[in-house]
Amino acid sequence: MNRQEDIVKGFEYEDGKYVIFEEKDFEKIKSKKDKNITIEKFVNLSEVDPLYFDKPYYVAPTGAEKAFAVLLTAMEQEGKAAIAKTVLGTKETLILIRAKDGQMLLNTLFFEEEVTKNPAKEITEKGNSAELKMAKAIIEGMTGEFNPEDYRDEYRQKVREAIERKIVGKEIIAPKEKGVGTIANLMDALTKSLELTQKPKTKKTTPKKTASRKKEA
Amino acid sequence: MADLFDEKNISPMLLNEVKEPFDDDDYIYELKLDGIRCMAYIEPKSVTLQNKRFKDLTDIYPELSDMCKCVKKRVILDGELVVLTNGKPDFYALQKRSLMGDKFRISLAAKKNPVQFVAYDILYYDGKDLTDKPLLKRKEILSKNVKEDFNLSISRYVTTNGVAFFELAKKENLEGIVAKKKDGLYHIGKRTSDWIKIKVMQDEDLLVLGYQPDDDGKVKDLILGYYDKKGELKCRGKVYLGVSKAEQKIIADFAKKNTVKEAWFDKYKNAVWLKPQLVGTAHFMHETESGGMRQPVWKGLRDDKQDG
Repeated sequence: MNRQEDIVKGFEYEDGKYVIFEEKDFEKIKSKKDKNITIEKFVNLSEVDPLYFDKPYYVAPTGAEKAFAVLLTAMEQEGKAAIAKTVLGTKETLILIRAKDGQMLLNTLFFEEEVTKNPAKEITEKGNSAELKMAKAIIEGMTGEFNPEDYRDEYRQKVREAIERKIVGKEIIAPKEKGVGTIANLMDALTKSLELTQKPKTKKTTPKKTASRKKEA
Repeated sequence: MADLFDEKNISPMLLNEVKEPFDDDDYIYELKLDGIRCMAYIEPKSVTLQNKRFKDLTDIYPELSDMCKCVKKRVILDGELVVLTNGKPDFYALQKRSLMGDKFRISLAAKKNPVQFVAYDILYYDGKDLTDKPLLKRKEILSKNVKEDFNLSISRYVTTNGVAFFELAKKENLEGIVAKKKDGLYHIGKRTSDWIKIKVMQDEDLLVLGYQPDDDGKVKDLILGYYDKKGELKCRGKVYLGVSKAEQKIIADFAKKNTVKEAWFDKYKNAVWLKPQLVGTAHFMHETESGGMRQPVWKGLRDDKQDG
């Protein structure tokens, strides 16, 4: 059985040969913790190839909300996005910030070196102008707005239904009618059994003072 | 005047605790059900559920939105969420539900073993604040205007015979009983002697001061303690039952950075000792003579409580 503490980090630089990294080696090269986002420049959003987009995040300011609001409004009105750097975890990350409906949205970006060159060979064939015209007409005819809510992950839905069918085959689904397996049944049973065994009494005693023992934990 | 229903910020009335049951004509007695306290804001078209810290629970228990069929007017109900296993409230099953985030898993669990709401009080009806009405009057309004359904039950009560009712609850392995003063008003967020709980088993919030690992080094027995009046750490005992895998992981992760070298208590060997920061609840029969716990069961870590 491997224990968490027995696992070390390393890099195999030749077959079977490793340099081992300890926590202190990482400490030296870690990006300094920095909660700030440093803007490098502003660009037009359409200039940024979606190829570079990694993960999206929502961002909210901690303090300086007015300056934040001014910046967002200006960005939204000018249609600009900001290219910036920040430290996420221990790693400096390239990000793109944009404003939408008065809120800040952020996308982490891949660095150039992380993006693989397109391995497909270049397409040299070209169509004639009639073919091009027809293709453009088809595109025109099928153009509409992008509505994300129009699309569902149908595979996921089918998997869920399949899971449910399998479970139903194995288990008896709890009867959902009143009076069967409800907490009311239990309460009725107990109060009735008390009525049967006890005659009404009229004794009176005051409850003892609270003896609740509460420790401050 | 601010409307209680629109504001949605009622903290429930709290309970005092006594050790021994009593008989008193001025009180009614209800079962204490081992669940989660919940304030339900119900109107004919919608339901909003809140816990005592105002966290919205509506989406966690989608099966309870059916409760809107039980009312004709806006009501605010104080009650308990319970999940039954073999006909009895099962806190662990409910806790498992309360920690689910995935909508698909929630919908499966809601079908398989639905959560039920037990209403024991009504604080508002059709625009009117009822908190200044006596308890029995509120109970009357509750049963007259709220219809029971699979998901919604109205709490039953007995009069006078508190001691016998407690014994019955004990025999049935229930949590205990609650005594409520018949003419008591609803005191929002307050702890008074108008509501008194008498429990079969006791709960106590304790610090997780360490653990004894199993052969694979995983968290097994938790070692629990508390600060005494002098501010010194005292041992309460060990608990093994009820510690979930998820919590073993939380504790193991915590231990990565928060161990202490010196043992808090010498009597436990081979233990990993922790900084006194994690707080959780243990559940046990009355204390043994040495000050330990009898038949302890771990109820879980509390994220709402920090040492300090």
